[in-house]
Amino acid sequence: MNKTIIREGKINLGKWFIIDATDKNLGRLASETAKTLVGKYDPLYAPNVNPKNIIVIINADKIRVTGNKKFDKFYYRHSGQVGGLTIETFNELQSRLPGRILEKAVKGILPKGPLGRELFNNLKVYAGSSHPHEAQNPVALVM
Amino acid sequence: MFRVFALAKGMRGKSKNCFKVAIGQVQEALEHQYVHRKLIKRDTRSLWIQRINAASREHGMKYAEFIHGMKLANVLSDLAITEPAAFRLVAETAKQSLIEKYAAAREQVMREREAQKEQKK
Repeated sequence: MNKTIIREGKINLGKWFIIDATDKNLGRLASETAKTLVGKYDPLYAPNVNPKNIIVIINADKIRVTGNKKFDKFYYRHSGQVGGLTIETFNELQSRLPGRILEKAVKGILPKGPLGRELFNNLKVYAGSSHPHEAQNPVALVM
Repeated sequence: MFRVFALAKGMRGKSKNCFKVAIGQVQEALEHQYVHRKLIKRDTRSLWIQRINAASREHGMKYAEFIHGMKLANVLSDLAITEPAAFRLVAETAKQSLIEKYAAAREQVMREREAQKEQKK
């Protein structure tokens, strides 16, 4: 029988991509990023493989949300102690930690599990327009 | 009746050595194998579809559009007439699969005959 090709184990054929988040919608950008990280746009996709697509996102502080979400979208975290619930709006979190919002968005879309956590490490988010990965010549991601 | 300890190899602790423990584990393992033989067919087909989806998106179509378009176009019959070189590639892939399939069956029959001969000895 013609065996279905499945790449085994660790591979290193992935590419470096760069995305400018300026004026992009949060969810749409996160969705494309996550799919590229997983390798869904590659015909050699396999669910057990980390395709090593590294994505650099710049200007993460300029990501947009539509409607009133800037003040109505809440981010929750709980410290584990009693009374330890912290609620921040999109705006507050954006000014406190600019890259965190995109990281949370992509992490929520990536698969949950050891491989998903590995894939998250292939995402590099930066608030300004400069990034330390010039040497890798990241290619603009076509969406 | 099957040989329990032969199937219990690699199991943890007493499961591979003590019949009372092993029989339960082995029966569960066989049940998992039964179900998995059916799951494999579903999962590989799902993988093929995901891959076709990725490849057709490189050509500006989603999987659904691609398959629908192929059905409308009667692709294979078209290729047979207009693109014999492309059809030859497809046909050779098909023939290779058939050869491999019947080669596997043939080897299986040869092995069974040899096993029968050994039993008779």
